[in-house]
Amino acid sequence: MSAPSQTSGSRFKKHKWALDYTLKKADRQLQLQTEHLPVGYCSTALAQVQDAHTGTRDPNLVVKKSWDIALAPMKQLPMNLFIMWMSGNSISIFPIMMVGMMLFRPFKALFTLQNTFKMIEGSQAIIQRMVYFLGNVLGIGLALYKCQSMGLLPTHSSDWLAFVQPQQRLEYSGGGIPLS
Amino acid sequence: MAASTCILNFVKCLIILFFVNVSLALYADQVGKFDWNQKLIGKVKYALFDHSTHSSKRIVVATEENVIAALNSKTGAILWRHVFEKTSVGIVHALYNVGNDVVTLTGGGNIIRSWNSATGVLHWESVASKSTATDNPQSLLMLEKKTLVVLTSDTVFAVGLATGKIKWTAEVPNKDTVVYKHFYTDLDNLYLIGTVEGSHVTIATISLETGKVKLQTQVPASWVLLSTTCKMLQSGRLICFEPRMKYLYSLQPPSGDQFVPTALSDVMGQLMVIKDVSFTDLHADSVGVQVAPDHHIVITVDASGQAKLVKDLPQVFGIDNLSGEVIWQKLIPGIVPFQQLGKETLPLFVLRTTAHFPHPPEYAVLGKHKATGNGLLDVFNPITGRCMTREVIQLNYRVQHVSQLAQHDADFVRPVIFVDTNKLIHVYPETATDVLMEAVAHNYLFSADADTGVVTGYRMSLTAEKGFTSEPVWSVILSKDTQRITNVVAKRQNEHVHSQGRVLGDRSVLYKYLNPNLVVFTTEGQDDQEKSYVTLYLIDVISGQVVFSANHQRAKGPVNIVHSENWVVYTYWNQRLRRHEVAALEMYEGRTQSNTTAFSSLAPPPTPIVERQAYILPYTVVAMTTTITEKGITNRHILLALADGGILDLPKALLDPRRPNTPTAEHREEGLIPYMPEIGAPKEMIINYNRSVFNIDAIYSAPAGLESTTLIFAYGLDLFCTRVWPSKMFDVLKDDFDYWLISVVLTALILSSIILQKMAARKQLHAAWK
Repeated sequence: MSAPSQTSGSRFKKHKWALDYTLKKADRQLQLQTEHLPVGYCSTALAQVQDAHTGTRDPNLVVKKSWDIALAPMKQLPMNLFIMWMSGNSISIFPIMMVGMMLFRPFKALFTLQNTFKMIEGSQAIIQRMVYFLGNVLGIGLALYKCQSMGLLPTHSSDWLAFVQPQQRLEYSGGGIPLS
Repeated sequence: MAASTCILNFVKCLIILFFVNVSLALYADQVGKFDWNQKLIGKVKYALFDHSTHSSKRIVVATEENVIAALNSKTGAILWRHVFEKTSVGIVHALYNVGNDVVTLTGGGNIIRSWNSATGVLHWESVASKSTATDNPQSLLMLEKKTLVVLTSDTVFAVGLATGKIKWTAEVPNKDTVVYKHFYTDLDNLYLIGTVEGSHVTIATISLETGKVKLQTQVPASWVLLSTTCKMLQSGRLICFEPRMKYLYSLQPPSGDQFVPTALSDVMGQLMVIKDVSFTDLHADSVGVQVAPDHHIVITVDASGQAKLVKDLPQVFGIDNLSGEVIWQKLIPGIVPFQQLGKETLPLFVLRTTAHFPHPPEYAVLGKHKATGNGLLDVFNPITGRCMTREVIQLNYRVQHVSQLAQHDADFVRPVIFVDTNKLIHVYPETATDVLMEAVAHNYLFSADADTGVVTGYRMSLTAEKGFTSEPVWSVILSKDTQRITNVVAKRQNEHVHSQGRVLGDRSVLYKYLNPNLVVFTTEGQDDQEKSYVTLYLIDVISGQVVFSANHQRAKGPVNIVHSENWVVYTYWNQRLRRHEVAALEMYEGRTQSNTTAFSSLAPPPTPIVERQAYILPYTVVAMTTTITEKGITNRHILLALADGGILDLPKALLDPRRPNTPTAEHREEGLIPYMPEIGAPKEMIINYNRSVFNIDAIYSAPAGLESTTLIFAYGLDLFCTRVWPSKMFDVLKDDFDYWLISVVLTALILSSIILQKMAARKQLHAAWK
């Protein structure tokens, strides 16, 4: 934006709360020392805060946050159970969609496992990581159980019948009623 | 959860119903699109030019297939026809023209009928009750007196031709000693001429008005035998041929009392009279002429009227299966069919199909030589009909069994092996001995002798002195004192079974017992109380093991059998309840397969579980077969030729022995139809709609190139060829698939998406520059 004119003296008096950055550094310090500063503004407060920020973090908070991340899949389980029970064992679009979603989400979580592990820190990090992994595995197990009760898993011998090869014929026969 | 299981079951039932296929009716415009049929009449015995008042260019014929028909004399087309019973009741003995009507004598001389020669409508029918049926009744038409006189073996009677009333019947005199075969009339009297073997010829005079015997005279003739052929000439002269001295004896009743002998050579010219005219079945311009009882020559008349002599009728025909026209015909001179269980057969083999390009396809027909009885093999190209070898191959041995090997030689020909009466094995082509040597180790033969009732199994071996021979290995004696082998049915060689087991309702598998060497034998016999029975044996012909046998008491044949995959379906007549029944057998190994890789009859799986059920058929089945496809994925339908002219197409699911009496949820899951004792014939399952085909001998089914289609050919008196789709036509787009609409919509969408994409890109660019 256009800078005010170089005659600073008269302009300065008019705008009481304005800080003029076009002045040289020495003049600017002059501004700060006067009562032009807002109420409650302490020019040294910022320095303190910055010091505090580069100090130690609260370990409890870190662990708590990590537990939140680790237990997230476990918290999904009851909701998934309820959704499974509601959708029933028939093969139609809604149950298939629900099962697909239930299967897909833990798999995706397992693929981005390394990234999530980076976010989990703290003293109980190992346990938390195991818990996270276990939660995802349980989620997959639940989805597979749902598939099994819908009859989609090839657990019976009739599912493998299409791959049974015909028996090879070892002897051949011919003949019949004599021709006369 | 109960609601969801209900819904689940309902949905499952709906899904299952989609797979229960019932043949649907045809649209009227689809008639004749995939099928053709030809109505035929058979070999003509008698033919008459029609003398009815409206000149109609009609010929009325009676044939050996017990059919009378009227043919258009210009085109040979059938105007009307009546098919009589196939048994001796329906044999047509004589055919006469009476004004506008045609009179037939059938049923051993007992049934006289009068038909309108223009329309074939029956005017009257009269049955002579007192006479016994004879093979060869004689009859004489007297137009002036409007009577027909008929002579059977023990009665002579006269029928009035106006109304069919029997005017008089009389017993022939001395019917025990004299055999009456000829008669002659003059205006008032009827002269019956009978022979007493070795002594004399009797002439009995009977009055034509009353039927009383007036006079009996005897003429001495010591040379006469029962089998002497005599002919009554039109002039009233009786001529008999005595074969030993080659003399012709002639007699002029009633006045004659001596036979006048003449040597044959003098009379030969007079006897060479054309006796009968018969038309061949497929061409209207060929005329068959019967010169002597077993010498049949054919004369063809072409467009310009030239007549050519064609000796003997062709035996092999190549017919286009889409239009029904004969593409080529082939006459194999000197060939005669084999006799097998009373039926004539000319085995036909596919040596090579068209699948091996530079090599032409080859088929072979095996018959026996008319004179010597040795085998005669003709190898020809099925597309053109031309012989592949320079001439017909004459085998110098009598063929007793013939079989085809499963392995093929270097030229992709599957060799045919012949077993002669000395149990030596020969092979065609002769160069295929290396294939035969490999095959000796695991090819076996069997022979079922109907006369002795013994089924013998042979194995092939190579000996130094005799070459390839067959040695007996096992024999099964189906005791010939009480029963007789009537059918031997093996499985088709080119059949492919797609699924090895059957999925049950609880998702487990019941594995099928697929024995490729199982053969079905049926025997019919009579037990001590003269009650007939039918027995079915399932014998493995490699090891001789009788896998299963079933006996039906108080049942009679003929038994029609279909044997395929792991099931057998057969029909029989239940004598006690007087109805036709069909029984279905299915064989299963169990819940596990004993050997998953190979099936060997020498180390067989345990005896299979056989499930059986029988159903009632409210109609008579004349022939039966099953559909067959290349890969065996399509459902199986059983085709039955009915006696009333229809061909019925039944899904095999109706003939499933696991059909439950009280269906449970598991049975419904499996798709089993609940058991009903009767199998009806709804009209939409008759595949020849209103084009009836009569006297069918057999139906042949062949796989088409498409998995969903089977080609059917029914033959006998009539021919019928069509296609059947047991699981609907699942691998072909429907007939009225709208290609035009879909392609237009597709093109429009592609174009619009390209155009809109470009417009959107341009708009975005425009907006970015603002």
